[in-house]
Amino acid sequence: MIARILFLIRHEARLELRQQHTLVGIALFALSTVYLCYQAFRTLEAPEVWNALLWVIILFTAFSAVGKSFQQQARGLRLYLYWTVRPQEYIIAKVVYNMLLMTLLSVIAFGAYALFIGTTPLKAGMGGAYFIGLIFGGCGFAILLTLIAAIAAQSDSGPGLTAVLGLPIAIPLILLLNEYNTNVLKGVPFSENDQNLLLLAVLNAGVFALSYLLFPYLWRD
Amino acid sequence: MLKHWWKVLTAVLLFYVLVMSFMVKLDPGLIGVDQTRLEAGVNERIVAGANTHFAKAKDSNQIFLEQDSVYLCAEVAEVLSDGQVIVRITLPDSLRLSFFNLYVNNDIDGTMSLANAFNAPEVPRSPGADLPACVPQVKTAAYAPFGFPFQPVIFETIRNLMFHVPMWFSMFFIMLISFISSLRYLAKPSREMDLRALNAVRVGLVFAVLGLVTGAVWARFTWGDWWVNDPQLNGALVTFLIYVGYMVLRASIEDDQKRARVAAVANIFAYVILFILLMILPRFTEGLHPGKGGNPGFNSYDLDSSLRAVFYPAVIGWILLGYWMYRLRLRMNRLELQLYYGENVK
Repeated sequence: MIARILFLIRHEARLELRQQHTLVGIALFALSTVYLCYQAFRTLEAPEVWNALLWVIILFTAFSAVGKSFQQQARGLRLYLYWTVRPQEYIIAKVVYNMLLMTLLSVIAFGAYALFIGTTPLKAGMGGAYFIGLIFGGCGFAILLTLIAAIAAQSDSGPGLTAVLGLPIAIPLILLLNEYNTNVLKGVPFSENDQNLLLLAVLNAGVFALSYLLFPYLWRD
Repeated sequence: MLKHWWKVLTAVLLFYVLVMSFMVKLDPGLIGVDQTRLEAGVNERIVAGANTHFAKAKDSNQIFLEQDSVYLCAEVAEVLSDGQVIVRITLPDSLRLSFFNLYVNNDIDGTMSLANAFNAPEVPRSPGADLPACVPQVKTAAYAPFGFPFQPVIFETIRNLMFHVPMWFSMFFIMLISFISSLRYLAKPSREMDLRALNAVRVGLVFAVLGLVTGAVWARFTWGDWWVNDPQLNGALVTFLIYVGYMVLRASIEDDQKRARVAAVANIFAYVILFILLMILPRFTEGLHPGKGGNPGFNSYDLDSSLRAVFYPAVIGWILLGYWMYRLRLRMNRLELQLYYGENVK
């Protein structure tokens, strides 16, 4: 089972790399959003605004990257996968792949953000804790939006529905992430802040378990 | 008639709740004083109360200040009305710098308190100088009328407890029906289960809107704004949006069976998220709702017996009304399908 999941992840990555336009397109999207924010704000001193803006950028990057997860699948490939792998394996592979993708994109977005807008609020010694939040957030969005994208892919209206279904559910995730990372920037010690990470983990684990249980019903077409 | 006993019960309960919620008086309590600062020497201050009987219990009014369990007796200078009394407070020259709680006691209202009603001037405390001790002769109220508790900040809006909280209970209950129907649909697909899930969400959304509206009104009068930042409010809004998303999802799929299947998945997902958001997360985060840091419910509201006597029937009544609405909506939907498409459901 694990071998097949690994194979599926490699397969997803190969597909993504082969159609270079999607990955490059999303990276370009993140870069131009950051540049737009740079033109609008130049520099940002207030930690709350600095942090919130970064999260909004990552959120929309996640929507464009993960939201199309199930859209561009060729009909033949779908049928082939349907007969060869179990849906649980497929959703695990999708979620893990999207987590890796979102980790990469979060890092790219953060890099661009640091380059243009700067890292004034991020003082020495905060980097590690902040980065944990960043990775947690990216993975959280990936887990959540994979299932949402799978649901939206079944509808006739396409990826637009991902936003309608996904944005409300993303709100609590963003609130928790925002609180965690703002606390980091304010210098709150990790021992007082780790509860936010724990809650994030609970929320993500819940969504992941639901994806595992519910995806087979979406798969059957 | 016997078959519909629960509908009769619903009507009776809600009638009782409506009458009681608006007719029961609030217990007497102190609202405030005209000037909070006290000077050394003789001070005359007006104390205002709500539903109090200062004039009626003219001879039994006792007024005293308290600070760290030391009591300072004050005199009644003049009773202006049932709701207002002028008190004369004599402070010694040397005092501890502090705040005073105010107590008013009489035969009708019992003992009422107002925390930190007065503050004293900053006079350096000389050793041994303290408040002249006095032992107030407190008598309990001669008759205790059935009234809702008088709570600072909340005051009369405590009546909203009978509407706002049961709305969310009802929504939870009706969404639970929807959740179970969706589970049963996935286990064994049938038109009936899909219709049940759909109509339960429709009714549940009505209760969610009512919960948000009654909450907004309550927030306006107690917290000062129509919308405040609070985990439970976030959760409530997200819940509402998720179920609106469910309706949009349904509308966007043409094929009947596919719609039913995908909607069932979305619905199960929505209910679990709702449970996490409204029942689990608020327990761990800071907020304005009562009972934060442990319980998102109402335990710390000091639900006293008079509130309980109305609140519990209200919860049962509103839940039954929601169930009743859901049944009607479901029957209507079945008839629609039969009329327009000749489909025979069930």
